[in-house]
This record gives sequence, structure tokens and C-alpha cells, in this order.
Amino acid sequence: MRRLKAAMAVLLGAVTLLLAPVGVASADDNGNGLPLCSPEEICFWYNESNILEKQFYWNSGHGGYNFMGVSNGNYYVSDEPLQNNARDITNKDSECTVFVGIWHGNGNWTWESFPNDQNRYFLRTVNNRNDYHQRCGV
Amino acid sequence: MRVPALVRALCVVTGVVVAGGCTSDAEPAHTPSRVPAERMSDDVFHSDEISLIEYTKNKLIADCLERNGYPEKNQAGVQEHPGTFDYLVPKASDWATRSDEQARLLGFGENSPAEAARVMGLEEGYTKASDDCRAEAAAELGPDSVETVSQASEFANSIASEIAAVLYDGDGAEAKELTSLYVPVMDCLETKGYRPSQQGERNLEAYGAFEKKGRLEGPEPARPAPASGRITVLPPVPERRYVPAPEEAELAVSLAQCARQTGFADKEFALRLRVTRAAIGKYEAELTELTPKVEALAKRAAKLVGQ
Repeated sequence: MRRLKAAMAVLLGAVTLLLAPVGVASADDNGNGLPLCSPEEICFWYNESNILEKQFYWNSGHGGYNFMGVSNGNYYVSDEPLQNNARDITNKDSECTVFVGIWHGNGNWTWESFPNDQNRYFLRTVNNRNDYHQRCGV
Repeated sequence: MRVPALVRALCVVTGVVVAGGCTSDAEPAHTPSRVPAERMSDDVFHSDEISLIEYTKNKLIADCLERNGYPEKNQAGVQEHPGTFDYLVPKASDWATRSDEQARLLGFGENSPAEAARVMGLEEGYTKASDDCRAEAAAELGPDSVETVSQASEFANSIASEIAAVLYDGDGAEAKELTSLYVPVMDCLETKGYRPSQQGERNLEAYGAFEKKGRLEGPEPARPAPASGRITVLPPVPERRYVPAPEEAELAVSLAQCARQTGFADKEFALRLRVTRAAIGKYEAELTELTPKVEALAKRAAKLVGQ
């Protein structure tokens, strides 16, 4: 099941990236590369716990990324894809509101906005449907 | 820009339509669910006030950091990001409203906007100073400033959620109406020789729409990862023009032509306006509670930054 989810994530990711808004993105963005959500980062959480998290500095499609995990002091790539699989967000961007979007097809997106107040927010409509995030405006 | 009180009063008294200043309905224009689309971002969602509040917060933090020996943010320049909630304003899809020339130039892409320099501080002292300055800025703006901005986002997210439920997730009349609007556009594409990638598939992507096959001009901006223990100032990034692939541009032109031939944009806009207004009407109580808080906070912010 996990392999199927991961394969689906890669496929959806490729499609969504082609359709995504044009913004400055960065390949292989993992923020500062250290566990947990640090200053300047945009962080997505798999569930209510702090165990699986994926962090970014820049705009990005969510396809092709997996949540990162921390266990016994190791920082590892988990089996859980990020796309359509996130529950919460923490926006620690130093300047901007972050917008998280769902692609509906036929050119339609739904966006939710999250202020950069360092608090952790539940992704409501985009919960487990997250395709993309963008800093500062959409 | 908020609706001037005099215009609002004239609308209520006369019911006259004044250059977009009033709605043509019996209800006054300032009833949130009747605000014209072009004024919704500011008058309903408070985009102008939220962007001012956020700018003020960022400026206060930058000033505080400078006082504490970290001038980098002020040197890089604090930017205001207007139109926070513009994405909630009902409008016809961009692809449906472009001229042939615009469609040919952009295809299904858009130019990548310029970005200001970005300060990434991963030094321990800087992080502590940032936290302290953030708390100080929030206190200067007002004890409920963080909560109020959060509530404004929450309100916007409620509207987005309601629109998504009605237009995309459900199978009610509005969702069916939206789906039906694409049918004549796809029929028109077929008359121009386009075929879906899989027979019987009936959405615009099946015809290749929205697929960005082009490229952004100019070099990819450097994105050095900021190093721990240091403050990194990433240089500003200039705007980059999107250049579509020839077949992408051709399809975008055909799609824009089909949208015009079928009257898609007007019908889509009318549907989105109706659905958005209904969503706003559903959350009017929340808006009534939110509006005075945002307005008071924006006034305080304007004083703090001398606007």
C-alpha cells in the first residue's frame, strides 16, 4: 500500500508540476536540512505528532517529496509521500504569508492562506489534498 | 481602497448605479455578500488592511533587529505584499479572457515575478533576536494582532472551503453547471482538430491544456542554502519571462478563441460571483465580528509606519 501511495505521489507530482503556477522553486528543497521546523522554513506535518515533517525555503510542488522522519537521532526519508498527505502547516517564513493549493483540473485551484506567525495550523480544505505551496501571493 | 462613505450613502438612498460604486440590486452595496467583485478583495477580505498590518509587523521587526545589531533586513528592504486575498475574488479564468496575442505570448505559463533580497539568519543570536523582536512587534501592534490576522486568514479559508465544496467537490447544481460550461469549449477544440489523449476523456487537460512545455528566460537564480551560524543575504531575483513551446502557444490561442466563441468567460464569471456571494453570505456573522478588529489594527499599523 505504501509503495502504491509512493508511486501515485510520483505520478501526480509530475502532472501537478507541469500544471503548477510559475514561481521560483528550487529542486530538492529541504530547508536547512536539519530536523524539526526552523526559522525561515515552511513546514508540513503528516499528523498531530512532530515525528514526520517536510520543510521548504521556497515555492514548490509537493509531488516527488516524502516526509522526513526523526528516529534514534537519525534523520531519514520516510515512506510517506507529502502530496495529498499533509495535515498541518507551520509557516516560519520571515516575511510572507504562505498559500497552499489543491489542483482540481480544468485550470482550477483552491488556495488556503497561512500567516507567518510561527503557529501550527490545520490544513482544512487542502488537508490530505495538498499539491503546491507558494510564498507571498498567488 | 475602501468604499467612500458618501458613495455608499448615495447608493443606499438612490439605488442608482454609479460606475461600479453600487450594485444594481435593492440591497446596499456595502452588504458584504453584495459587494461588487472588483472591490471584494479589500472590502470583504480586508486584503489592503492585512497587507499593511503584515508590512508594519515586518518593518517593526526589521527596525528592532537593527537596534540589536542586525541591520541586514532593513538594508535588504522590507516589502509590502498587496492583494493577500485576491485569489478569492470571482473572475473568469485567465485562459478564457486572453486575446490571441496574449495567449500566444504566454501559452499556459506566466512570468516569474521579481523577488526582493531575502535575509536568512541561522545564527543563534539572530534567531533569539528575531523571536524577541517578533514579540515586541506584536505587542506594539496590539495584544490581539496575531490572533486578528489569523482570524482574517481563517475567514478567507472558510470562503475558499465553501467555494471548493460547491464548485469542485460536490455534485450539486453549481458543480454541474461549471462542468457543463467546458463541454462547448471542448467541442470547439475538436472542430479545430484537437482530440483528447484518451478517447472519451472530457476535461481540458485531456486536450493538453495547462501543460507548461516552455521555459523561463534567463538563468535559474542561485539558491544557496544558508549556513548554520551565519546570516545569509540572498540577492534579489529579477522578473523572468515565460516562453511557451510553439504547440503550447497554438493550443492556448485555440482555447482562448473557443472560450470567446462559446461565451465561456461571462458564464463562468456569473457562476463564480454567485457562488462566492453565497459563501460570503453564509459567513457574514464571522465577518461582522472580524471587520472592526481588522480596521482598528490597520489604523494602529498605519500610525506606526506613518501612513
